[in-house]
Amino acid sequence: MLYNLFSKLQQQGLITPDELDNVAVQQQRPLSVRNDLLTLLYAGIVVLCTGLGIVVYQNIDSIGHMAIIAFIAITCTACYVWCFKKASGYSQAKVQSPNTGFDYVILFGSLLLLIWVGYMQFVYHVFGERWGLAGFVPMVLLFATAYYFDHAGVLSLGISNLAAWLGITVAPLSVVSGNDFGNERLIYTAVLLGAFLVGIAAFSFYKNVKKHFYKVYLNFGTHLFFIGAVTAMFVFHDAYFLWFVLIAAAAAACLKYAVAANSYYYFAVTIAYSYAAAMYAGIALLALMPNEVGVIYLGLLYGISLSVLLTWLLIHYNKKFKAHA
Amino acid sequence: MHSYSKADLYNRYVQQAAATANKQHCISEASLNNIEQAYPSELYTPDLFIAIAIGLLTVVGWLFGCGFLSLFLLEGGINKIGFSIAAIIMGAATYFVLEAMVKSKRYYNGGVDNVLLAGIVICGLVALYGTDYGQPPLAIVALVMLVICTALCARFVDAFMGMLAVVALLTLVFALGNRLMPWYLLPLLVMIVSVALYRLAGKYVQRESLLAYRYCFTCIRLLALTCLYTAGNFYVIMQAGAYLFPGFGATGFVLGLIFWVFTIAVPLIYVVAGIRKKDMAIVRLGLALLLVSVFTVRYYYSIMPPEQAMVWGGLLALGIAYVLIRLVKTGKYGYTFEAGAGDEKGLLQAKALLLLQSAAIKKMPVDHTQFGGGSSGGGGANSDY
Repeated sequence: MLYNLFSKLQQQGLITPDELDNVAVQQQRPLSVRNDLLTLLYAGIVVLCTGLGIVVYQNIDSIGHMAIIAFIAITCTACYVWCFKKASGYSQAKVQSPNTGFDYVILFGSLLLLIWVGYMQFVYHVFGERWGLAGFVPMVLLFATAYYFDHAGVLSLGISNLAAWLGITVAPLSVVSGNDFGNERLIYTAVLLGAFLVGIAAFSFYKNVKKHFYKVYLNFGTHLFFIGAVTAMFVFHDAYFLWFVLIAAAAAACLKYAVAANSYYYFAVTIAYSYAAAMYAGIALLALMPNEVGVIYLGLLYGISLSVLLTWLLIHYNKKFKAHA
Repeated sequence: MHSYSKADLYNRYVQQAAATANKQHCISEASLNNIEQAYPSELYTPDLFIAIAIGLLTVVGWLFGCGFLSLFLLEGGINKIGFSIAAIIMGAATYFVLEAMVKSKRYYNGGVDNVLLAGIVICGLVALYGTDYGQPPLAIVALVMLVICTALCARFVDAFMGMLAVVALLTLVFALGNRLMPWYLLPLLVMIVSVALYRLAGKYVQRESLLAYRYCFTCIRLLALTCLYTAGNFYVIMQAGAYLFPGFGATGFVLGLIFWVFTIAVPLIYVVAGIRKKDMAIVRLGLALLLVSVFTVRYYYSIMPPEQAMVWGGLLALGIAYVLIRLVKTGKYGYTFEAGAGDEKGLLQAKALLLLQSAAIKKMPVDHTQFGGGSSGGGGANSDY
């Protein structure tokens, strides 16, 4: 069926005979299962490490338990030794992995390292009562690993560790439920950390220090900032207008970036946060009006028109992106 | 039949085939441009993220719209006209909005159409269950939903509606069978219909005249396989049996064994058949169902605590992946480890999310004095597993 289509296209002079041959050859090629197998490998590592992270805290002092700790320590060391041997060393630019398994071994090693350090602190109080240090040390190790071996995945682990060290959980499914956003300090922390990470992203990008890492920083930074700022609107209700202005300014900057970088993702994300902020601001205004049915109608109409407006905005700019691409 | 122009849908298919060929380095960028110009498609299908954002906005807009309409009807005396009628009015309004939007903007899986289609189905369900005459029989609900979903699938070339139609059909078969035959034949009946659907969709997927619905039929095929498995899954049988027939449970040894064998064997058969047919979709489905089977077994016979199972399962997955990569790299089996035309970027993002969620580094206790298992931070351990 596919070959028939392309031979038709060739007859119409849209593709060359060589290209038609290419299509025919491609049909006979072996099927690529690269992504499937790498996903399986990845899932294995993540599941294994999650399991190990729990198992080490159980049956402490039993013999099997010591075997597990030894296994973690030895495997972790082996991973790092192997990676140091294979790695081509640090560079400001992007470093290509020496082979396919490399990235996965680093990830495995880093996760084991995290478990190991956490366990050492739990049982032997390596860092004494300074729990802040117990979060700080693995964080530094993760960042060092990420930069030396050029691994974006470990970098995101490092950033989430940084957030955790400051008291924020960034696990996607629990970023809202897992954080106590009634805590005012946490809100400021989230906003400031978000802004800081965006700053690091700009630094990486403009100063060419692991330039490709900027996307990871920017992603975390944008979400943290917006989640913090939108929550701030709800919590610091008296000053909500100030926060609204701040969000609007940040959203404008984000949209500008999204258009410049041709990023659908940032565009969609910014529109989503803007919607939440605009909806809250509008309802806060309506709440000032006398309490009548007409106000409810007005609120509903506002909700509808805001969705229509933002949808229009999305589609309008989406077409612009395509023209650019 | 459908509300899009035939040329639009066909040209979109040609464009996609050309884009894939370009990704596989079969045709040049210039040829791709030529093809896109010769086969223009007006359909609006944005990037996935944009579609999700548009979809979310549509959900909120639709809810506000329904609120607005119901407030309006309430003032007009909703109690007089009844809840069902109000739902039907909303469903009809949604349909006309959808029809108008598709006509003017040509949304095709653009977020708006997907959400509004789901909205119509929800209105339909509310209308059926919101009558003053008590709960309608399941068969009636299934029949009405089957008609609505099939019509919407045909009209808007929507795979999700097609899948809902399959669910409705199987529910109808189940509800009718429940009245006509002994319970132990019910799973068999659902299985037979699933296989028939799989076969039928497989026939239509190849048909040139139904090219526009190709994706619908592909999804229906996979869903039919999933339903075939579900109909014989031990947990489903036990739960459905207990729900429908009080005192159910003494299934007898032989029957129980049959369902256990079915639960374990079917996913394995899918995996093996998928590998032989080189249909990765079926292999992935088989693996996912295998995971379901593992949880099914665990539900009844817990061999080890979950964290130990994770350790062994993770080691097993690692080992299998390693061996398979080695095997595939030899290139003997018609598979290759070289990069294909798949979407590697999307996969990377999904992996990053999985990593953050599962290795979830617990936040530090802010006062830095609190003790406790995994919350020592950086432990990579989830203390509240």
